[in-house]
Amino acid sequence: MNFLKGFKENKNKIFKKENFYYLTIIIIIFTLDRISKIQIINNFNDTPYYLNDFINLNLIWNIGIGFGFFSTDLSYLYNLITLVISVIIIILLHIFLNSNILDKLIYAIIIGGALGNLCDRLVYKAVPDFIDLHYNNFHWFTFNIADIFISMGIIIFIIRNFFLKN
Amino acid sequence: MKIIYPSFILIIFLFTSSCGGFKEAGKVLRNEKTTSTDEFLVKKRDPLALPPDYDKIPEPNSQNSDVKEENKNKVKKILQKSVEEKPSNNKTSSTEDSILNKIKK
Repeated sequence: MNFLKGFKENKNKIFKKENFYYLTIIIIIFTLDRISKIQIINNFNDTPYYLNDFINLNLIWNIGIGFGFFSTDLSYLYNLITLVISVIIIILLHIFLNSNILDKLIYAIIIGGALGNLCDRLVYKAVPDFIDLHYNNFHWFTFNIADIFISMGIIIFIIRNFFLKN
Repeated sequence: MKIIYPSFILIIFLFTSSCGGFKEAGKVLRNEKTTSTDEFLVKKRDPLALPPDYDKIPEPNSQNSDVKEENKNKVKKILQKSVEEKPSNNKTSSTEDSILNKIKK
């Protein structure tokens, strides 16, 4: 009963005027991510596209979570992970609605990126990663625009909560 | 709270982000073997495989008898040649004799 009550309260909070700007941020990040992914998927060849000495564009489909963990062909495990991600995003939305202004901005950035990746998991059954950051022969994890925003949100979150607490 | 916060951040980051693929950094974190051009690496041999015309190879005993017969034939041929060559040697000896005779005269 408490959960339903909280859900109804949150439902009313989402459409408040003060949350409008943050919802706009979520939609902008989600749209940017979607446009970039659609462009890459439609126009990409099999060969990596050279941008400069540090960045290549290379389309790789990730069926796991961050850092390629839980990459599995088992459909039930994939669906379970997708369910867990959905629950985490709902929790994040709940925290977002009950936070102060700066925290709302941080959570909006994270939720925008997370929704972008979740959408790919539901539509393509995998997340397309295409930004290949590298130095000489060492390649960092291939990532996408959503990952950039999630990482940004997490870094700001860490700085705010651990270094700028007072 | 001190323990919950970092784990909360880590869970959010791991599950919401999807950076991955199978690049070197991922392999190192997942403790996967990497292929490198190490000159001291021992090259692995290909697995053993039967030759394509394995059924056509003769059995061991049958091969021995054939070889023996072949050897016998070879010896016979050599002996025949040596017998045929002998008269020619005689001829040379006769020519020598004739030359010697002429010289003596």
